[in-house]
Amino acid sequence: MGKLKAKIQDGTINIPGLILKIVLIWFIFSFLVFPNINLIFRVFVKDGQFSLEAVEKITKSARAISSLKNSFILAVASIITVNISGILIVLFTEYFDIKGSKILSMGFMTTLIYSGVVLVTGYKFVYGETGIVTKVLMQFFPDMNPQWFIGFGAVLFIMTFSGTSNHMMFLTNAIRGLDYHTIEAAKNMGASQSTILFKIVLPTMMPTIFAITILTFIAALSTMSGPLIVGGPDFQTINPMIRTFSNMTTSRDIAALLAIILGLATAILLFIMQKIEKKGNYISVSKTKAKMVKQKIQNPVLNVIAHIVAYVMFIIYMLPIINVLVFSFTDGMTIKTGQLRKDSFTLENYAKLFQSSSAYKPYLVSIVYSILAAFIVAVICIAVARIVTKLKHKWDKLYEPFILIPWLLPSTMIALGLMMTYDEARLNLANKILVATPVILLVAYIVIKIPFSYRMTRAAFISLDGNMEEAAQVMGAKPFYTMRKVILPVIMPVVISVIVLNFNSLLSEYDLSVFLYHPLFQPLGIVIKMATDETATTEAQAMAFVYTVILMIISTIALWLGRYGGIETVKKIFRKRGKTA
Amino acid sequence: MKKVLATVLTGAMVMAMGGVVVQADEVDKSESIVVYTNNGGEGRDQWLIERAAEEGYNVQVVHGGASEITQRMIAEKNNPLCDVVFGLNNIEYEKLKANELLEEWEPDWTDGVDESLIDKDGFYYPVTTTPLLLIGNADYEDMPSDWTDLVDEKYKGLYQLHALNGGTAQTVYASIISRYADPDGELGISDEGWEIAAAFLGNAHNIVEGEDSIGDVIDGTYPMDEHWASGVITEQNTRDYKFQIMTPEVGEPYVVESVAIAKGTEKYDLCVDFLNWLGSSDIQLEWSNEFGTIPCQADAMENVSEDLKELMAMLKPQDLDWAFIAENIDAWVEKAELEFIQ
Repeated sequence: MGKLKAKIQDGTINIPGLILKIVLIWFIFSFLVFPNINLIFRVFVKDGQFSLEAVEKITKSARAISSLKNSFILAVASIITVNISGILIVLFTEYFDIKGSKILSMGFMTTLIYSGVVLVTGYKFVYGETGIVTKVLMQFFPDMNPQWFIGFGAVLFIMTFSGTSNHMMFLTNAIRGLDYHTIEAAKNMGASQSTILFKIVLPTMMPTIFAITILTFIAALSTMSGPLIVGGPDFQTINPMIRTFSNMTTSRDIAALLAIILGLATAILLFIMQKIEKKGNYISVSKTKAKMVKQKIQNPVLNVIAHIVAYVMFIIYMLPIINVLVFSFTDGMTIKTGQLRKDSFTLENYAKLFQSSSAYKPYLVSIVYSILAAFIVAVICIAVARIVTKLKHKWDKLYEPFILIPWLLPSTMIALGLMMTYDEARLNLANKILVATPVILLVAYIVIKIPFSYRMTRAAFISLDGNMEEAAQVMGAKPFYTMRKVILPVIMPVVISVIVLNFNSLLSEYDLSVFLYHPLFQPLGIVIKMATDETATTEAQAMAFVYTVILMIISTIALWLGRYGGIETVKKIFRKRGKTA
Repeated sequence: MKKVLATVLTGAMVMAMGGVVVQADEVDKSESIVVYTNNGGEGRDQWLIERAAEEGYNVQVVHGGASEITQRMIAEKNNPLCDVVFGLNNIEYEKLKANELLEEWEPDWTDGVDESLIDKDGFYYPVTTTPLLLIGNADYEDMPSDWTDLVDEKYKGLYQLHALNGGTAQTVYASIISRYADPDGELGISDEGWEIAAAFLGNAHNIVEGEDSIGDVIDGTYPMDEHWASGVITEQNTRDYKFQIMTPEVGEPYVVESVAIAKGTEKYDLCVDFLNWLGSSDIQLEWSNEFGTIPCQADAMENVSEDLKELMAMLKPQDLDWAFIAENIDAWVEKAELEFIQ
């Protein structure tokens, strides 16, 4: 007892830290481990016996095998292509001195504010049978097939240019955090521009690139709309099948098994990345970081080429979103056929949106849920990433595999796991039943966003300079104070990016919401899906575009607040008002 | 930043506690009725809430796909939130029945509906019906006379089917293979039935989201399409076109949507009262005029649009064993998804 007291006094045992760990362990056990294990157990046990029938069913199915194969081909290919386009756009907007980089940057940011069916349809409007690009190409090559934009190439093309959101958010942060002294020093020592880029700039961005690579891999593995809409009969992927099966009680074992196969592949990649990461040292050595200065490309030919590539990419990014904007002002028939007529244009879609007095409510519900979830996720991930990267005990490492569990399962099954587990009183929740309360959806939103957020936060912690923290401690700062004043400010850009991305993607979430939402608090995803159902009329389906445009506006505001000093601007306005009042 | 975080976290806690409170006083508020439905789209939920409010009912709507609603009810077994189910087809109701999630009851309007559509065990009662049809381009000369004709090689790639996770495609598929019931066959279906299923699903063009399946019928890209009757009328009117319609000798599969009371509701009497109102021929006629549905009430049917009457006169319901279908549909769909769909 006396020993314990001494340990507490000398700080070996830190009471707040201990409480934090207990809370985290409770949370991870209650919401990440228990429900999912419970679900997996239930789906693989049939008539009281553990059954691996699913393995046989999958291996017998030619369609499942070829879809799995396609998913992997797409995932590996897009790791390469998305990284190329992603790194290029970040270099163009943040590193090289390219004329009009602000406008370019806005164009490249568009992938952050729309996604899914509408995004792919946007590409189809541009490159499909009736699209502008196809029409132009037909002028030059009259013999070409107007339905050329189909299959693997088309899917990969869309992935390549729509999958760069993470680069725009996190790699931009990484470049802005570069220490310009190192670049200047290299220059003084006579290093060429390419040496600086490949030996100094890119290596320091490696932890971020690794993290993004994993996210790209997962996104490509689980992509839905791209292959469905432009994949054609020859390039279908596995996720639509997983989704169908996870909605059918008796086929969930197949869904779980397919998802676990994808999860294992992710785990392997994660493992490899972690190994590579360990070998390198990615911490920038300088203590007094100097602000980045954009580099002018000295070779005039390369400079021209860089400008051309940047602007061609800009056009590729902008065409689909412009189409979506234009088509949101047209009637349902125009959207269905993809052909603009003179009388296509209408404001009716927008009028319909707010015709009922309570139309605003789902927006409010989704915004509140998304904000809460995004912030809570950020707090949890900071805590865990801190514990894991500091490793006081060897056990601390164990947080990591558990916190990544939601990556192993499709969201439908995460929802079902929560429902099937907390539909009865459980001791770990003080015997409260979660099902049919508004809390369960919040928990689910938090759960699905944890792995991604954790991975990005962890990358930020890894590139954190340990010496600064040490210095703070030497000067007598308490751990919590160090956290607030030294660590948080450094990783804040990443945390805010994570919050913004999570907020935007949760706004129109459907897969979890449909099972868990409370009738009094209907989220936006449900409303959108209702309006755009399979059986909905053509006019109703046009609404998908209108909802997307509204979501774009909300997402843009979120981006501006989080990333472009929006909060400061708002504060300033209020301060001024305060003074005049 | 700190302040924002603090506010948000406090908000989270208030909300979490609020959740418990909301749950508690919902039980007390005996007059509110929670309706689970797949009929919420295109403003239907709003219409229902407002129209019911005029009669003094306090209705809350939970919307989802038909199979999602069923899943949700099964998962909520120990803490049911639902009072009344509205919509859903027989397949889903049979699943709910098998899970003992429905309450027996009887509405006061059964006289007006076709007796053959009523559940024999007295759990669910029909309100609207949707025959599922094969429609064709007006000039297409080789229109088949039954779904089973489509297995012929000459139709390969000429007809469109919806994704098999939706109700329309599942019901048509079930209506075909359940004709080949064989207690000794795999999943209750004879080998012949499976051959037909393989060809029927394998030869089709699968419609994907964003495709204009009706437009493809009209311009001849894929001259045939699987579609629901009420949608056919709407499309004919908006596109100013008249489709060919296949009328098999055995009749068409009718998706019948019904109403039922959920087990565990604490407002049984109120639910009966509400469904007596909702299923009545007056309200069903209003619903039809608003959303183009086909009412089961004979009185309401007499007053629907001429187009609809004309179409319905051509059709007759195929005799289907819904309990058999409900019991096996998931396994059949699984087999199809794994083995037949290309």
